[in-house]
Amino acid sequence: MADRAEGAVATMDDRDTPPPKLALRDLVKTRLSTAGETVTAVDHVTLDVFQGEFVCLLGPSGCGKTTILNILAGLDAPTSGQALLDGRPIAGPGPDRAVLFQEPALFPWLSVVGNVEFALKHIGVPQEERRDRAMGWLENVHLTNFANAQPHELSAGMRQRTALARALACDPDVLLGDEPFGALDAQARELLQNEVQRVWVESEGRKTFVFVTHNVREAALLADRVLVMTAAPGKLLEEQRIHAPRPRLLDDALVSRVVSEIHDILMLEVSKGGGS
Amino acid sequence: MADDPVPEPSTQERLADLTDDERLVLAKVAGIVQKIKYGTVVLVIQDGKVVQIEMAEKFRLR
Amino acid sequence: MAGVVGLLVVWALVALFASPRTVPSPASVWGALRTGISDGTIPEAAVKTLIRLVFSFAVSIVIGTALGFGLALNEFARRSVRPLVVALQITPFIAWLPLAVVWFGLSERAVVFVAIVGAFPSVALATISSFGQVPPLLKRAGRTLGAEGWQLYRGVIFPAALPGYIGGLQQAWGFAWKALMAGELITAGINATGLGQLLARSQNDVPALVATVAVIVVIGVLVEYLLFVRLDRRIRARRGLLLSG
Repeated sequence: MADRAEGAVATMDDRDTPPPKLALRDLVKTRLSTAGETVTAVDHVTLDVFQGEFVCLLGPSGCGKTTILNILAGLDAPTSGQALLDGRPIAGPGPDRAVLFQEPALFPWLSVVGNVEFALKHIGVPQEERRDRAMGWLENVHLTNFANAQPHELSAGMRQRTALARALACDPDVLLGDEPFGALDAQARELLQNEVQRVWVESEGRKTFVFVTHNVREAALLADRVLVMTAAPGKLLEEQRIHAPRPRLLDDALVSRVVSEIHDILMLEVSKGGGS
Repeated sequence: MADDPVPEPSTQERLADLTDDERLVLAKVAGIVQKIKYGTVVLVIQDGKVVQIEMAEKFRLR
Repeated sequence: MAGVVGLLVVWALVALFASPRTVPSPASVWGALRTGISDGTIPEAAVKTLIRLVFSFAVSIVIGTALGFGLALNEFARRSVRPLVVALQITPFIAWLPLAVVWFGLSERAVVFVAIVGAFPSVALATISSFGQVPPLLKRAGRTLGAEGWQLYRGVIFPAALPGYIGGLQQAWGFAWKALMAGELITAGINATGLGQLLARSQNDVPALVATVAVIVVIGVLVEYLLFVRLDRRIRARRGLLLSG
């Protein structure tokens, strides 16, 4: 019993010093609003994400969290400052940083298994092996029975699970999620949150997950580190490092406590006139 | 005799009364308290024993 | 089918009351049709017309797709040239015929030219718009999965643009067909007889006229349904784009 207690307080501070998997150094991103003004989406954010961590960026809309995710994905570039992958500037998108979007973004002309095979094709898996490996990934998300269905025949939750299988098929070092469960109903969301937790645990520290969400409970449930951001302009407000084993349940005492603390600080920010 | 209040045991006496397991838990909790500035510690208890210690550490970034 | 039967019935009734010179009876038209087929004039003309049609359509596809693709890639080119293509599409193709006759003489080439000019703008415009309507999210998803440049085009953009493109081909086909007919009708004097020329020459033989028209209609409908509608339906069904019903 004492041993279990021991394991549960694994500290994250005992990191060796390879470079962080992902790093933002004084990142600034501005854009022009429709009125022609310069809007600062991300305001001098510095942040390290180490390999094997599960990080959630949490905040209201307009806090720049999606912008940061797009920059990490290579779909957008910093206005100033740096975004680094393994110590080197991020050059563009790629299967090493697979992305789960809020809409599943499945290719409608391909079947479910076809979508997964697409990912395998672009990481160089030879034709003969693609079908079997794709089915393996579908099995991982319990969708083998729908392998030959077209995306439009599936429910939203199943489509997102297919998207998850497709993203994992790239065998990415990093999985980025842009509010991937935001468009799902509560049941599908819970199912997928558990799937994601499971996949991360099974990766045993090899994979780094960075998710963006505005759902406080979800962030506390999934992440080792919750980075709370504030809007207009987007800045990091506080970080919650959660040391609790997985799988976590929503009614977990610690999770609940963290959720209420985060709510408090977000409310405080709102009352100070920052963010929605 | 019955009117004399029972004296509160001292911290040392209480510590002496603990089992090894219980002392270990306390040591861990103390260690956490020493290390973190802001945060929460949760003790999960089953069958009268602490089976899990969870903690969350909070950092102000602004 | 019910519509066709109804039409035949109405036609027969009208023919009873009208003079044979204006509205021939279905029976006489049927007779003219049988004659035309058995003596070879109709099949020969139909084949000639179809050959011209397939040729003009193929050329329109090549020109239109190449032009559309080029304009889709380059924004500056698109902004300068696209309005010209739109103008071309709006202009009645018939307006080109006198000019075509001047350039190519009263020949088959003039007719084919008009058909091509009538059809390729639709292909070009449909190519441009179908590329523009590819959902950006799909392109981003493709890029994060490792498809870039040509791979992105082949793997994502072309398949995504296909339904819109086929719609453009369908429209271009209609234009080519009409332009060809008009062109053939007007260049009735030339030797190579297509269905349009046949129409012009049957001037007073009303049953023959109607018979030829019927053949023209049937060909148009057959191609439309057997080729385009089926293709379009298959492509859309896969993507879940069919309007249910």
